[in-house]
Amino acid sequence: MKTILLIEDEPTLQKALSTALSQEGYDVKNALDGEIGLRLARETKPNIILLDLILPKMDGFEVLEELKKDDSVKDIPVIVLTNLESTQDIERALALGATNYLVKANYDLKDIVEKVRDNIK
Amino acid sequence: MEVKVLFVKLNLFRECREYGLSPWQCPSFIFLVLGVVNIVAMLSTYAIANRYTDQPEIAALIVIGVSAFIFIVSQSVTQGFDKLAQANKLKTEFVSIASHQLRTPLSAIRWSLNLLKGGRCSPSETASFLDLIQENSERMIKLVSDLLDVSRIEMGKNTFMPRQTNIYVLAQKIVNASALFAKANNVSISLEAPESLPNVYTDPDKIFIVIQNLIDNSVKYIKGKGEIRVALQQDDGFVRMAVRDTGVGIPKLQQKHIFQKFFRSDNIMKHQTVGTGLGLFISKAVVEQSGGKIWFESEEGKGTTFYFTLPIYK
Repeated sequence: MKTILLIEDEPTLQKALSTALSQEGYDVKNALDGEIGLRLARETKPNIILLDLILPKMDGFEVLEELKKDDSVKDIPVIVLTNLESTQDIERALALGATNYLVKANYDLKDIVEKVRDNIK
Repeated sequence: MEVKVLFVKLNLFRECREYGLSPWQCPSFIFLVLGVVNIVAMLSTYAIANRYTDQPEIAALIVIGVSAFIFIVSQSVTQGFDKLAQANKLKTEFVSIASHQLRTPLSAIRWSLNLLKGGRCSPSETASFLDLIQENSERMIKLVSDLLDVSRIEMGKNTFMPRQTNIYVLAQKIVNASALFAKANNVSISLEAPESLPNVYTDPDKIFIVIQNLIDNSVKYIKGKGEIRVALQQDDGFVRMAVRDTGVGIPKLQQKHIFQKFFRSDNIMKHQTVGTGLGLFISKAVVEQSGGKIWFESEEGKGTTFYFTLPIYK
């Protein structure tokens, strides 16, 4: 079974997303802040990471930067899933090595599941 | 007054009126004055210089005087530009933060509906997604009404109708209404007040929101068991209310930002509490509009006490 690491601090969004992804047959691991997210990524080596940007303790940009610096996890695709949509944020995330950048409010869950399916390793 | 009407008719200085800048902070107005002064100064210098051709110092003095005046005025033009730029930036920031804050509950509602329509949820999951939808729509309603309050406060247009108010009765009402919510969170809540307390002069509907905000914050930021003590006391020409809790406290470094719009401290973000970051901003505006003060004492991990004062009704 393929695993997904979901780094999302908003409990309601985390619940909806992880339910949808589990229904598709993925094993979903949840992290509620950036630090735990980074640690779980290193420990569990998921097949894909869904990353929010505004996170407590360590924000999504920092997490992304750390992931891409670490050889053991740098090849895991990271989809940034956020409600920030300034060009500046998008460019920054893509420059740091994000595979995809999705604005949450603009997508239905099925679109997100599809993006995951297209990008998962 | 007539000049003002003329400005409105000709749509002059529209931007300055929109941002509530006084004429002396409004670049376009100051430029106009500057131009008029310049023309008058040139003409009079010419006239004076013509008449006293044997005393060139006088013309020179006038030129120096005019230059000094222009220098001072141009300083205030620069400041006016700064003020306009700042107002504009605040507005943009406000829109961007507000829309970001609205998007989270919107996404939650949209996704919960996706799951419910997908028809693959168990009955208990169905119930919990329905709860999520309800919770998030309430959160949006609260956010929108807070945002409207904030924009009214900032435009100086919030209705404030002060009258004789019995603050004890008001506090008791809120404490009683909050007791159930507090109990569900393992929090006890009490109200202490001296036997006779003078009435205060404030808008009871607005101050109701302030007390409610402070108590709600205390309940939210107590993790595990705890207590809230609300106390009323007379203090010179004021009545002082204290809301003391045994909650998570406010980190020292962040205390100075606590009344800022949209500000939420790190440690409460860590505790996953829902909030708009607008409650204290609104509370401060209301208390100050009443002629009172609001402040707090807090220690991280131990608790917070918020105080505010309201003037006694005379």
